[in-house]
Amino acid sequence: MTAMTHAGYIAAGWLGTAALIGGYALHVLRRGRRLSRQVPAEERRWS
Amino acid sequence: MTATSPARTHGGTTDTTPHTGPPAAPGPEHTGSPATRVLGLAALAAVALLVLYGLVVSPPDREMADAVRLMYVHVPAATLLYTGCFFTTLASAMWLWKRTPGWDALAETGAEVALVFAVVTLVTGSLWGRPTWGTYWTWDARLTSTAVLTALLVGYLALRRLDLDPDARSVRAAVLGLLLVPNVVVVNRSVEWWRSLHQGSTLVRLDPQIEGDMLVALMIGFLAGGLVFAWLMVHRFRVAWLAQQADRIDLDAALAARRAEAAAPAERPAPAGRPAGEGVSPA
Repeated sequence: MTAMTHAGYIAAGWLGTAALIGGYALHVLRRGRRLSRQVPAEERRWS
Repeated sequence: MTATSPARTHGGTTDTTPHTGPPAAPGPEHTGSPATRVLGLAALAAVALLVLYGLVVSPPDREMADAVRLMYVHVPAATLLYTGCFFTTLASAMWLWKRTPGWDALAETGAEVALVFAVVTLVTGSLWGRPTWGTYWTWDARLTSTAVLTALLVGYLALRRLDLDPDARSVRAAVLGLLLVPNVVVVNRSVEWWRSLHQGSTLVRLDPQIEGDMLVALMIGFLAGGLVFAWLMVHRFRVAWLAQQADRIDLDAALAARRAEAAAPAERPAPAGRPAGEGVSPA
């Protein structure tokens, strides 16, 4: 198995993407939890 | 709370009387649902498969060597950027026509998720450009038009956060939202309309320039990206919906307080000599 060329660029691209999308997903979930407590249950129709 | 759920306490006594009538169905205190859990698991499985195919199974390219592995993230991200913009333009047009809050929430959702994929597109493109072109950035037609589209998305989301009358803000945002898809067309066609360093279409042509395990890895990239995009869109849409409901509740409470204030008898100034605070109604 040969060493991967441009490994730093590939790692930065893949890990950066995972961090950005993962961080955004967490932000959306937390905001959803916070807002859910302010809104009556009947308005949360996706149970 | 269901009919047989926790006993209620009134003045120190416990009420254990069963309630009749349909039980109230409490909604979850989050934006998840069984469908989004399945979608999330499918997205995670597809991402794991993408890591396997994109980083291990697919071979290096003859010219770009292993740098081609950035394509499996960059190209799907760019496509999903376009998709998010499409949702925003469609929902903006529908909101201007129907004026129903769901379309407004969808327009905001599409733009925010599109912005996330725009950043991924620009970052992975720059990282791919350095070993391939020798530079992270150049004022090429495709790169510049993508940067303009990203700036437009930032402007759109900034406009949505302005402290304006909600309807006026939504109208202005919708007008800006209509410009996104024409901009996407410019980004997509830029490699053909102007001389560009960026390569042209790889897949959308009669003789695709990619095959074998590289094509499979790219298809898995589209699948994984699409599932992640769908999961984000559903959750973000529910957040936008909840934000609208919370704003409405705040507005209703403020109006009720104003009405109560107007209905109360006019306050008279306290006569001189009375202790401070006496005769002053509670806030």
